[in-house]
Amino acid sequence: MPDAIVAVGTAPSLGVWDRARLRWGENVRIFVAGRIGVAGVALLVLIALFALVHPLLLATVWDPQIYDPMGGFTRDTALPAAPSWTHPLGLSRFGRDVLSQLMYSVRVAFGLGVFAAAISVSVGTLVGCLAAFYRDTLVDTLFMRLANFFMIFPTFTLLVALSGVAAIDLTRLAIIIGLMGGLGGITVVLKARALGVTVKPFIDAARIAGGSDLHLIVRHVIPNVLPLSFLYMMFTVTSAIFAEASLSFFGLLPNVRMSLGLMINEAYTAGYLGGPLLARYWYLWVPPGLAITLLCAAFYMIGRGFDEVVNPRLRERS
Amino acid sequence: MTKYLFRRLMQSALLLVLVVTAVFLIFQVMPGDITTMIIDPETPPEARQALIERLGLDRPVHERLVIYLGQLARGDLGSAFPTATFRGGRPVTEIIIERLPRTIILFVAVVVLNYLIGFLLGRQIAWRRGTAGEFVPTAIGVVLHNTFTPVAGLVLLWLFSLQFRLFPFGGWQDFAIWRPFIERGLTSNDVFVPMIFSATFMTLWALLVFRATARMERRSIRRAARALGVVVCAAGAALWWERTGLMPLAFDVVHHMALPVLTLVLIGFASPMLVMRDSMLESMREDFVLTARAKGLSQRAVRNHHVARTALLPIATSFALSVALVVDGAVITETLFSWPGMGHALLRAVGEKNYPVAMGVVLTAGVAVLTAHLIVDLLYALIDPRVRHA
Repeated sequence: MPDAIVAVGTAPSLGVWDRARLRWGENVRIFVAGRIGVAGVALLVLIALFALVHPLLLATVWDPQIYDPMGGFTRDTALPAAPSWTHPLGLSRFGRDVLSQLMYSVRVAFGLGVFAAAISVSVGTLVGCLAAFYRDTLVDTLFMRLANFFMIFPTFTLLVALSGVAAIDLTRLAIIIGLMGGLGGITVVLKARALGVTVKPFIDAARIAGGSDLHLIVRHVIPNVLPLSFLYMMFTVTSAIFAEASLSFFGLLPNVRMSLGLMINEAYTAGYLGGPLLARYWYLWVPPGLAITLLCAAFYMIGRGFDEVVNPRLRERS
Repeated sequence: MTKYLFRRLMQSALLLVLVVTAVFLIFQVMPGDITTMIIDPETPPEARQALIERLGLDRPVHERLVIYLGQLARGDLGSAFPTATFRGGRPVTEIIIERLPRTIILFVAVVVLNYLIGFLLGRQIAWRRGTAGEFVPTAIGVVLHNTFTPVAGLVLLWLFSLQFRLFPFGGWQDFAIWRPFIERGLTSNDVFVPMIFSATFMTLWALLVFRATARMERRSIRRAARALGVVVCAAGAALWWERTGLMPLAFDVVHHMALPVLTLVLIGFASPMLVMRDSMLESMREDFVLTARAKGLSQRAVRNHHVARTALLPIATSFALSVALVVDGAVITETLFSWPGMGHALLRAVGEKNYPVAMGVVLTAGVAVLTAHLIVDLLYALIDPRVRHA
């Protein structure tokens, strides 16, 4: 794949990072031209603002006694209560303000997704590059077998089973998802890309110049596969958010006190969703459901847009 | 080819052992003492100790793993704990044999529809790159792809089952229809297994018909030939089912299956569609496409026989990876629609801490994805000579 390495320019005397900087402008141009990525970024900024306003609201206009997502309560109304001026998205079965819950849960989902993705991408990049650099050694074989296993195994099914035997909280969930993703598909893709890098002449040149293995991997192999890592980071965020929401929906994460999936679970177990009441209690499930979709779609769209930057073969022939 | 086959089979066997070991170990890390769960707390200490020894629970983990592997090799997955969903503590193998066909039929329907729709739409949108014809299906696909599965399922249930009254509200059988058959000793597998075969057969037949008629350039003739092929297939299947006398049951199952399948297809079709699009875009850049155009071939011929043909390989790879996704989706949808398959069993077993059942289901899922992966790899080697000679 000679044309696959985006970050490497033509000027041979510059360092890898300098060349990456030179290419930055061009990559941004391709990203913008693809449109889908820009839409994703715009959506993500909006969602982030929405989530970040929450602590400000709680500190200023919203009385925590009423609006706290986990402990707030409003007296003297029938619950759940339909949207009103004081509670724009209504009140849940337990008297919590739905909008406040939503804002808080979006922040939780955001944090979980990014944390899981950061773990999976760091692990995947490192392992993929090591496997490519030390190809056909024990390290390579071992990690590739492991990657094959994690790549084809149904992650959510495994998580359901895990949640049955151990109490999983958000941090552990992020670490488990991150490791499963990082040691699985990401390793395979990144190894393939890193293999293309390790056979380049500049690697030999750097080796002859006296570079150690560590230096070669950190300074030359990893920077060249980073754009691809970033791409997979976007897709891991989505799968982490989905996994948490689904597990919470079935009530399998007793340690999670508030999340998008839990909001839907609360309405579901009360019997509002699986029957004729669904339309009447729309404000209990549409906001969290839509939030999951928009949040995941935003990351997904950024990933797609980035895909066109990383894979030049997707661009229009000009 | 033989060498490749052998190597690939060895790999699968190795992975299988890895899967079994991993699943076994996962269920060893559970907190608390398993003996308090499966032995009546009233049991006197001596009898309790004797039971623990008889069950082998006092042995070290690696010894138990070896015993477990040995039992697996003989097809023994142990017995279910007698919890609410699995009353009577039947052997896990029996539970799996009863439920697996129900999941497979769901799975086959979803995968076939996903890939059919994804392939056709992906071909279209790549060809219309940069126009509304690309933008609209992509936007719809991305939104649906990121829809939270339970929400989609619940909305469809409400809409089609309660508002339009088109489909039943969950479940898998209308007992009024089934009762006379069940009294004669019929089990659900007597219906589900033939259904799996006829679904597979019909899919293959349809593929053959479309493949055979693909080169007919006149649109009217092509369409007529295809319609004829599909009608013959449907008539044949109907005749065969009529002869078995199980036709009403099969229809009942299809009727109950429609909503779960619709849910999974709505969420799933975008993935193969976008893979197909990317793969088409890559092969559209090749020189042979320019040649085909220069030869004066019709747009359709260039698209279907030159571009889409070469774009098929990545779809095969994505198929292998999507098996896991569909399994995950089935776990959610089956529970939502009370479809008593494997996914339903897993969630119930986890909720009721019925570890033998949960282990059995996860293992079956593992074996299923390994098998699918193996089949795809072998097909791949058949399609693409570069793989088997590498």
